[in-house]
Amino acid sequence: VKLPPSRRNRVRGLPTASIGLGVLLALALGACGFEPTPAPMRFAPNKTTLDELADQPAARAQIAAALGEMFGTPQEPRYPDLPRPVHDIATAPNPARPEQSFLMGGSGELSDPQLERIADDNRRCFSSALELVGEHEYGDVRARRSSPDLDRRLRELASRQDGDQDAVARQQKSHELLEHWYPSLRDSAELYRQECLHCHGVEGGGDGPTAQFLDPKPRDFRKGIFKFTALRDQARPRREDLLRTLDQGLPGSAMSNFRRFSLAERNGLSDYVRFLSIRGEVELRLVGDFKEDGELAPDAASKEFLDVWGKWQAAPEKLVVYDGDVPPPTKERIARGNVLFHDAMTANCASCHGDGGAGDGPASYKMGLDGKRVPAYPDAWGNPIVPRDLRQGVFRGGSRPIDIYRRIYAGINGGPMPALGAAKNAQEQPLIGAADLWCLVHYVRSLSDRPERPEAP
Amino acid sequence: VTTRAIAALLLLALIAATVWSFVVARAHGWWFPPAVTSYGHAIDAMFTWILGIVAFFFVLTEAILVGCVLRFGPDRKPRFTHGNLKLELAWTLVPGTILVGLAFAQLSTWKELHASAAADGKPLVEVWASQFEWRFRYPGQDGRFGTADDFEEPYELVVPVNERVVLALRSRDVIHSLFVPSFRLKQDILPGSTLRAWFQAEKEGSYDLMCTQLCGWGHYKMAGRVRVVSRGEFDAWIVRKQRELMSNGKEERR
Repeated sequence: VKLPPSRRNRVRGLPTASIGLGVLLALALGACGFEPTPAPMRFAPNKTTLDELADQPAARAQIAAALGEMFGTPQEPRYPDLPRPVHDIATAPNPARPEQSFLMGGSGELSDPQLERIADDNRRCFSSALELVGEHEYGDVRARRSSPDLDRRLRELASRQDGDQDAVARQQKSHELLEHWYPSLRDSAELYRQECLHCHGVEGGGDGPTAQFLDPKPRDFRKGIFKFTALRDQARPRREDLLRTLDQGLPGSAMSNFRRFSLAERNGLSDYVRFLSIRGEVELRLVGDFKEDGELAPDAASKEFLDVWGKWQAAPEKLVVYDGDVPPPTKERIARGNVLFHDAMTANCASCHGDGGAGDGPASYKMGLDGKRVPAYPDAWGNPIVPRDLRQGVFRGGSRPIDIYRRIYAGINGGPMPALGAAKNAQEQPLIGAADLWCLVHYVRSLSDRPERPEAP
Repeated sequence: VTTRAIAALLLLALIAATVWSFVVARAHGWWFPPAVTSYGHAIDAMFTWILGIVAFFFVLTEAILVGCVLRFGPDRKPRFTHGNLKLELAWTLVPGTILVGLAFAQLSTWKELHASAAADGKPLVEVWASQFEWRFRYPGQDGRFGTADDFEEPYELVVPVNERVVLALRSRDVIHSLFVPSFRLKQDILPGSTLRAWFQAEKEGSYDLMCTQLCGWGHYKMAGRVRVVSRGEFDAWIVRKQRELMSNGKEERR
């Protein structure tokens, strides 16, 4: 049908006009504070689960059901509500507050000084909200978008229609809520979705949409392995280890520090990372159980959970510390470190990190099929690993002497960097004593010392 | 008649929008945070002058536009001319004079920021920008960078109040830009070169710091803080950081 020009224009103009109207409507709704209810989310099965049980739909369904039962969904995460045993394992170091059990997403694991630091930080972060509470202006008290649970509780308090005699109690309660706020697991999951998901993925599999652009790749939490901790024997990280990564970032990778968020929020995020890690490891173990026995026992899931949970509990006594003061970096120590660094019979760092510490040692590369050098070792996640170029002064796990000491002592979990602290020689003697280890530390740190740098024009 | 009515409405709407935006901005405090550096007020003065000049000419040209629409309705045919020496000289010389005037007026402030002795001083902090975070490297108690007692602080730049602080700015990857709104300080950071910036903060407090050059997908998270403290507090902080640097890990035991 041939339309007259004016009519044709009108028809063509319609889609443009409706898009414009749509945008205006969206803006108006946004301005009114309208927020759509988020669609329900679910934890997807691990790729290993899908591969290993490709022809076992019943087993996959059984595992998914068990995991859903125990850990909930991304929007409603929870720890399994198992009878006694789990509560016995999850002994809170602060028995004064059993109701704040970590298993319910509480702050029960934190010591009093840690709680005091969080309260200090909360007072700073919520200063304007606290001011409003002080003036009984409850209507305007808002926490933040990433903590819906806190917001809900504040609104509940604000909407309570009680008499004047309760005003003081209400003020006190609101104050307490803000000051001693510790995010629920749900709040932390919300913040995780806003800040971490785009790299680390919904399940913590390191497979978020941004992950494909990154090298090094974001961590897959589901193996329970975390590269940089202060612990030996590849122990599961403590809360402090995860928190350290959030506070300091992992220099040289896309993992930046998250000090934009309050101390409470960072603690909550490390709780949620642990949650995802435990959930993911239980899933992997259930797949293994099924492959082994051809079926899953009714209590397999809770057994595996207790086992994994126990591993996370064992962490604190694995902390690597040094008895005495850190020996200062003298010329002699650095020279001694240089010798050890290159000595094939002891530390032998040069084999991977190269003679000059540039991360180009012969053992770290192999010849690819096309004659090009490719990294010789993958890490536990299958990503090719190159040794650190020590001259850059960029150390993922921190650049303090004790950080480097721990790295050499305990190695890097899931990577080829060995734990020299535990290594023994042929005579069953420690390969490197603590004194020599400090020499190595100071030598490694000296590689990036270039006193002239910032003064250069 | 309709065109005139529309023009009149436009004029009214313009005036209403102008007044409304000022009222709303004032009510919400939508303006610069107060300047707290020695040169902050000079920069604000320059901004105010330029804003005034621009506002004057904006109102003038809009008034001429609306006046023309009102005076010459749709029923009159437009007449085109070519070449009017007086008019052309006027609209070239007037803005030209103003621009040259502004250029001279800002010279002393520019010199203070970029070419004064202060900018050449010894840096207190080495600022490392990378995708997507700030790390501040202090020379430690020996005052020399690149030695064993250097320490790094992510996120927060701590500086003493009422002292000239020189920053050495360096990038690990792409072009970043350091911006501290309260200091009126903004300086691009180029990979491969060490740039300088300096300020003298006159008020203790904690201020926003951000990257203001789009530097990649995580640009939005490249935020930080500047904490301005007294000299005593600053020295104590350095001592504490040095102690943390030489930690043997035992304080981490519970």
